Amino acid sequence: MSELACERVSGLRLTTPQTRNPANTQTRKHANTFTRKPFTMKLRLFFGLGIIIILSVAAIFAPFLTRYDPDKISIDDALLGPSGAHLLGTDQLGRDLFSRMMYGARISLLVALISVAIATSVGLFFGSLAGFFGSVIDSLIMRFVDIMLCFPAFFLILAVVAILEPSIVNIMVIIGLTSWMGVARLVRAEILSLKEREFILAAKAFGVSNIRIIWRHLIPNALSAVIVNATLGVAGAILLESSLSFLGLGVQPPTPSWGNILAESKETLGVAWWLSLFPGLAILLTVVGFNLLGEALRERA
Amino acid sequence: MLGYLLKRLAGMIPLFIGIITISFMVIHLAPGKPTTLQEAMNPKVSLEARERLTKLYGLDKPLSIQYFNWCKKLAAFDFGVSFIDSRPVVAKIAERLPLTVAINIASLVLILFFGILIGLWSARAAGSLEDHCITVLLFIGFAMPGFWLGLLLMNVFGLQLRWLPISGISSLDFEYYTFWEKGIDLARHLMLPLFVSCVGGLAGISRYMRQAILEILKQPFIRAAKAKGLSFDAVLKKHALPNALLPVVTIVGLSIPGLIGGSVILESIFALPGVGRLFYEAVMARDYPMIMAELVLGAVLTLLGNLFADIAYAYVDPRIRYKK
Amino acid sequence: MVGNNLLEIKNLHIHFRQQNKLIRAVEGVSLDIGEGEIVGLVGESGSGKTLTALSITRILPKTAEIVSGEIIFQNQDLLRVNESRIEAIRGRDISYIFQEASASLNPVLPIGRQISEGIMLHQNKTKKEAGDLALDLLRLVRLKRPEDIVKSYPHQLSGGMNQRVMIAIALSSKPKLLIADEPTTALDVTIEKEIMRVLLELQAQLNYSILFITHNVALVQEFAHRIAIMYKGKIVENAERETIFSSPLHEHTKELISAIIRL
Repeated sequence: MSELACERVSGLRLTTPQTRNPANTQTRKHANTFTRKPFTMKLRLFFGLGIIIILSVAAIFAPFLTRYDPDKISIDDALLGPSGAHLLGTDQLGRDLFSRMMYGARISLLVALISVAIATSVGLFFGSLAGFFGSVIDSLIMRFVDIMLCFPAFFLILAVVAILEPSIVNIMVIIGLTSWMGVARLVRAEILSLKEREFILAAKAFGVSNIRIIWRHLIPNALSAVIVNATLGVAGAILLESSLSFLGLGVQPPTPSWGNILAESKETLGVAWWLSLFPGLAILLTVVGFNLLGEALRERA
Repeated sequence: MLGYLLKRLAGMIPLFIGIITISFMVIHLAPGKPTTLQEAMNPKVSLEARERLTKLYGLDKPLSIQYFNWCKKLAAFDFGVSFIDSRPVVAKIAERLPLTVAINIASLVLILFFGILIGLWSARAAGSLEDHCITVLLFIGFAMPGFWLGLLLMNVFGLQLRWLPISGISSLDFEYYTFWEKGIDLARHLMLPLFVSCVGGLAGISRYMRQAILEILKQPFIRAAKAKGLSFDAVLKKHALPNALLPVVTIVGLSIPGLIGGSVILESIFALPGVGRLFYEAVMARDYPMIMAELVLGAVLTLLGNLFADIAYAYVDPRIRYKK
Repeated sequence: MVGNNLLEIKNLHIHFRQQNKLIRAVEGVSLDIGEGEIVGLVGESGSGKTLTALSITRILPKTAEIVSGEIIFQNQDLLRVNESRIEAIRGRDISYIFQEASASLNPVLPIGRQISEGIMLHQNKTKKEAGDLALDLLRLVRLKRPEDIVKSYPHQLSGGMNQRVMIAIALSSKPKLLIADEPTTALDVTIEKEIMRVLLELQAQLNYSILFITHNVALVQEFAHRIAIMYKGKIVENAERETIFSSPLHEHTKELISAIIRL
């Protein structure tokens, strides 16, 4: 597999037109500076953090922010459009969509955060082992990573879901255990470049133990790249979880998740537009939020 | 070049063995046995049926023997029979594979063509309002959940406007159509799925392309090309573009597993009879032989896609093509 | 041999932006180059000599900005002519060779195409004619087996060979002025000598002017008609070669010259 595999599309740099140039009247259209513009990066950070903070508040304080029980069925109120009583309308069982989405935010965020935590820990473990010890351990681990990367992630996840019951815990573990390979490659590459630096060589010369070197010196130095990767990983995990739930193989009803609300909305697609619009919008915004934050962090790193 | 190719092929052998092993382990090492789950999911499975299944999978034998047997069967290209209808897995896949491969290749071609175009366009206009708008749109496209986009488009173009069919690959009276009508019918059915399948990848490639072009424009040979008297557009087209295409080839290779994995969702939403939907049905029915076969298939397709990307890369990059 | 003024740089100011800081890289440079004249522009790195050279046909990096000045060539101010006019001058009347020849050639295009590209652009020739001319040019810069070279890629040639290719490209449309920006700095001393010989012999044959930019005053001491010393964005001394060496006026000139003597 190509070494470029872990290279990600690096952040966009924005440019400004030249000013005060007596010449280049024709070229001015193309005459941009390629220097980074901190303003747009701040904008990304601002919007990314903003979305994530609003979302977290919604998830944490869902019981205080909603008027209805997300699971309360009320057939009389089925399929009501957005109104003052039901901000985002109701579903075919008369449940309040706004409440279900707020509680759904809890589930989606929880699943995403924990699965990324699992993926990051596993990736850190294997990546640092491979990077630090090199030789046989390195080639064994990296071949394993290569093999794992051959499987379309979604195929692997579905296959495991087929065996295990689709429960929230299982989903977190499965997503975590099928998406650590990128982290492992990243950590390995970071450690390989750090390993030969003076402070590590000095620590070795002083007889500091390997584990201590990895834990106290190498991992902290690789951490900024790992955090960027994890932030972008949350976005990916949210997409994965909602796709699984949409297919009926993720979070199981009646527990609300954005994906399974969308799955249910299929039945009323032509009738109740709100049921298919808002949960998807929530997924999109959340993914955008984490991607923005991730890219802003990468530019700073 | 030939040596490079052989080296690449040889490198694939351990990967292939690994793929087979992991596909086996995923099914057999996970907690719980296939048959007990069959029972739990489907209480009607009788004791007799369960024993039949146990025998069928050879689950009464030790794992090492099972693994060995499985490999032996694979060598003869035998993936067993489907649990759903007892037909050979290979035959079921074979009739569904062409559609999935066709959709994925069509998406790749569209993604490449429009991705390069959009990337070039926004790099050319870097810093302008135009570029900012493209950047925002691409960012949204990058984060777009495909299944949701599919739902929205189905609702708007299928149910509200009634312009396009929302499911399947052809209309009911397809057989009675003339050649051209058939073509149009297929195109109408595939329009939405192809669009949905392209959006994510398109955003990725365009963003990559823009960034790659901007990086290349800083290279000394761009200044030298300008010094020859080439216009900005000519420099972009003749000098920056060929260089920017190199990494794109790799990115395309890397996007293949995503496309294949995505076909499960795509084919499920639009009810397309491809291997993605077959996989989904197999998962829903716990059809183990089919799941294992699809796992191997998905990985092998990825492997082939990567090999193809590597060869393409070697072909377009003279530094590899004419390695000293 | 040396005729009228070919190019006149008048009071050129260039600013440069680096991490939001404004650097006054070139501050009021004036320099004349006569027809058939070889002018050495000598200064340390960062003295603004490369920016001055690049500004002549406006191929500055995008972070640099020409604030004021005039560059008169054939009765027109190159800083104020429109883009298509300057494109017609670049590579035809005024051409460049750069420090890193290997990096100045496009890695993914064959050499032949990179030579004929400029010919087709400026001389209205067919692909075939341009290809033949490319072979002639490679012979002119004394590269052996030009038929093979046109088919190869920059990574297959040595730095010295690539620099000859660059010279061939620069001379392809018979320029009036060749701007050589440290063309031998990245090369070994023996290769440097060969490149210089090619450059000077062809100059004698074709009689183009050369603006030769270097940090090494010893290099231009043998062939430059005139030497201008640049220091911190200004030309501090500009005189005939003999004058510079026999009676240097500026402190910096003295330092540069004494550096050679010490070597």
